[in-house]
Amino acid sequence: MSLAAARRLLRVVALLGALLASRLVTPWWCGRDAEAWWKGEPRLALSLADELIAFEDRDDRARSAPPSDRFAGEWALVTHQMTALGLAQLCLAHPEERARLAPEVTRAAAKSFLPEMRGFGTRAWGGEDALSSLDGPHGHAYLAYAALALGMARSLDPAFPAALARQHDALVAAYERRLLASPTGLIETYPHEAYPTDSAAVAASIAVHGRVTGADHSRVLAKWAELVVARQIDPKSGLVFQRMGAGDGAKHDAPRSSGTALAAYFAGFADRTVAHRLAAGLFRHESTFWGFGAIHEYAEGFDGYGDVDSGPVLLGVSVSATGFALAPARAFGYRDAFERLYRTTDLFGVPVQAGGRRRFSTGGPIGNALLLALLTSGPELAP
Amino acid sequence: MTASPRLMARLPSRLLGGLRFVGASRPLRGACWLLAAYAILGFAFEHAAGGLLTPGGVPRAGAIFLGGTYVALRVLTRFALPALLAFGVLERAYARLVESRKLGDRS
Repeated sequence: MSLAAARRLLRVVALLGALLASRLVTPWWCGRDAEAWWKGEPRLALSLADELIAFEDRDDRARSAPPSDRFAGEWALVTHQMTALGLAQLCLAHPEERARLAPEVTRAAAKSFLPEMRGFGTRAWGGEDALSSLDGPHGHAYLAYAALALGMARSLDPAFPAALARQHDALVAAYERRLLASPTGLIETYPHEAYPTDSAAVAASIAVHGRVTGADHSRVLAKWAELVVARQIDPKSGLVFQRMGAGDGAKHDAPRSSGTALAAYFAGFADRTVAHRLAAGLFRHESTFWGFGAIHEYAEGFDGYGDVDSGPVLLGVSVSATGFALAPARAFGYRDAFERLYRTTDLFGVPVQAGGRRRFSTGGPIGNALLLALLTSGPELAP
Repeated sequence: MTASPRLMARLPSRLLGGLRFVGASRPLRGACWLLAAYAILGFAFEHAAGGLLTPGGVPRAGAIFLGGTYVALRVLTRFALPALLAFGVLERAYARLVESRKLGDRS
């Protein structure tokens, strides 16, 4: 063999070796914690929980003014709600932590229920507060996120405040009445806007309330489950329409994965069959590359830019849908998809362990809160 | 890779051999620089940033640039570093093999 030919052969062999090394090492590098999260090893989840408890401490000290813009309010509500849900799931998975964590669940859940957290919704409804209009026809479905967190806190914390429990009862009763009256299984979040995801949170809050109080909500939950399948899921893609008309079921947006993934997580609290069906539709939209996974935001035939629901949409895949999909992947046994999605989360989320606490550096408090809830999903599933 | 002869003389022979091995290969030198930049920027980001966004979802101006750069470098490093190392090691190993065969032929 000539020297030139040997050199060319060397280059080809070295290049193939380089590609093989990248294909093997890179997914391993980014997925080192995936199995521990899958198995629910407490060292990771508890150190992330400690980070969120520290955030709630700082928030208690620093919070002086209410959030002034609509999405800041939503973000704050979701941060406290997801913190409460994540900590509650940890209590269920590790009962030995319940005495320590249950009061933290109540603290975060109660914060998500503060009037300033729902100021964005009050403004959207022209000044009508959700809790002051419980007898009215308007949906105010955004507050179901807080109601779900309160329900989980109530189920775990023996010292849950009685006054808060009465407000929780009244809110859930209003949701039940509105959902029973809805021909689509949807109630409005904002005027003329209903989101299947938010209605799934409403159903979840009703279901958890039933488990806590023993109240029979089976009729409304059965009706909701039937209408999700009949009216909210796009039969072709298996995804829910992101935004719809509550009264007529008109589609106001495309079938999208970010809404479907979060709806699958919430639906798990209320009805496993619905949640499973949403998860099956969702994982048909997974894209894989080099051992990494990401979820396509739009169903085939639809397209769009990112928004507050999806986060940035890059090459068709959505940050939110990819993160939200971790929950149904773990809860419903999509192990390979979970590992691929976790690798992507690790790569872009930048997990850091410092001072006995763990955080995902790029996401800030809301990212940490979401990932605690999503990465520990499973114990909260309806019986 | 350059260093003073006195410093080189003090290094253990195995380490010296390792440095020569790395220094003679452009991909391995590149991998070292990449790893160094990754570690330094990672340290800066992890100790400086409380997330790219505020708790209310507003981008933090200072953190966005540092964080964006770090995440881009992190992606590059995690994909390219194993490839550079494998390429460099294979290339150098082959070169050594050829060298030793030449020496064998001469003797």
